[in-house]
Amino acid sequence: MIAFVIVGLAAIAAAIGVVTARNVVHSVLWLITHLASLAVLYLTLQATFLGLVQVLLYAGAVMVLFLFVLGLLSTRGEREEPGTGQPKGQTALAVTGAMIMAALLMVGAAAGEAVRSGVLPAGFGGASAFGVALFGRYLLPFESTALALLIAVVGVVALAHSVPEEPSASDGFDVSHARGADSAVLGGEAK
Amino acid sequence: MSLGYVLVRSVILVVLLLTAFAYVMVLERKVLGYFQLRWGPVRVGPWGMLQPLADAIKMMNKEDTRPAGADTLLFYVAPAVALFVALGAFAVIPLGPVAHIGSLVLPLSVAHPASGILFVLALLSVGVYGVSLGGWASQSKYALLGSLRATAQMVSYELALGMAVISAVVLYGTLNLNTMVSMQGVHLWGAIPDILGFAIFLVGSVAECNRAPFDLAEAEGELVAGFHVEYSGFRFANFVMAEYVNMFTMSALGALLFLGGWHGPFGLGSSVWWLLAKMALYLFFFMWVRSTFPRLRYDQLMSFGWKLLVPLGFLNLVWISTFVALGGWH
Repeated sequence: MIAFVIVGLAAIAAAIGVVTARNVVHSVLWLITHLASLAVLYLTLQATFLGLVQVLLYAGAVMVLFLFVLGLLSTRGEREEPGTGQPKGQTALAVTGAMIMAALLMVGAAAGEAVRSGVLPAGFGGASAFGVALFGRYLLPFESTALALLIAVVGVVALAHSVPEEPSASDGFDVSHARGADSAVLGGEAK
Repeated sequence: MSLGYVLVRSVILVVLLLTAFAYVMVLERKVLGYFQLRWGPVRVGPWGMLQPLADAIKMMNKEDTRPAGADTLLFYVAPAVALFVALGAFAVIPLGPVAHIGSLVLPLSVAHPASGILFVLALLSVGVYGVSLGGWASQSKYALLGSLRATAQMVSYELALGMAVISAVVLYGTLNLNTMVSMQGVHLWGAIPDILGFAIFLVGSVAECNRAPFDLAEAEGELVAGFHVEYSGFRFANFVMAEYVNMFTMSALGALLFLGGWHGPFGLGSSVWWLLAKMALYLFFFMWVRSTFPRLRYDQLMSFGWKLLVPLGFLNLVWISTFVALGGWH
């Protein structure tokens, strides 16, 4: 219980670090810290498999890609992002957020009460129990999440590869546009 | 299991691993030397055996430089992350069957979680950060290029490596390293039905450790030294130690998953020495490959990983699943 509270506070602190850090790479590192704390929270809740997979996938694989992209983008000159000033409507957003959070906490507390009355089944949190739950009772949500992610991937690919019908001379240096221009030229020669 | 008990075991493990690092490094220089028809280190001590001591003294006395534009905290933390993660992953590797000394029962690993293999994979996936942050925090062109290459490579080959490990997990039906090894004691070694998985694991483990021919991250010819070009002294040594400890972890994992762990071949009993012998062979393989193959080009590396190893991994998984569905070893 004590470990849970300490790690929970660490997770919250790291989450605040994500939004307050001025340097994007530091933000990513805070996010990694946050995800790792979540993994420890899962471990304290006896969800061993989930905790390890959390580290393996989120803190490991996914965040590495974040860092990779930032490494490609960031250069010495623009490392320190200038402050964008105070955004408008913070108070209203904070109040709304707090209300949603309170509602979630109340629902969570009620659900937690229900769980606490029961005894954990044998093998709870292990790989096989996790697999049975995922591919049994929660198969539909699992598959629909996969579908939603697939749609997102297809969307990104479609957006990134859009070639305009008539490339203008001004975007000759853009790779995708240049390819379109080349094929247009080649097509013309073929005729 | 008290905290002191774990602490003592951890200290023993770290001392063992770092001593092994020192001598495997001498051995590697010797082996590379013989491959290239020269002697390797011979000057310091008999047969060059005091070379690691001399290297350590040199490393500790070097000036601890830091580039002017570097991100101070991350620059200092990155080598520690690399070494910490490498050592942590080895903590769950069982080096042998449970030892009985009198009434004492001693498991030969610092920790023995039920899902040991998952723990190793999780820590290995975090291991990328040492390299990636080290290169980024240096704020130098070569270091950044090296770390980007290393990151892309490790993420890509982690997938192939993961496919190989999954084939072993399907084969044994467990995530527990001890159970995997004891099953290989009863039945055949894992590499016999899962030869393709073992091959993928071999290639993937060389790539995960960023070693030749997959050492694009440090490519001396193009990037000077890649991600650790700005590091000197003991911080540089930390990266090298992490690389070698990762090699130990990979060789132990290869032996445990595919080569019968601590079981001898042809029913020749079981002891820690068998595992160490297999690890030594595996490490020799690392050195052999390094002295034999030239470095891959970046696009060759990527197409080899994604277009050959990953599809092969999936195919192998289909084969192993079929094998298990048809009754496996039983």
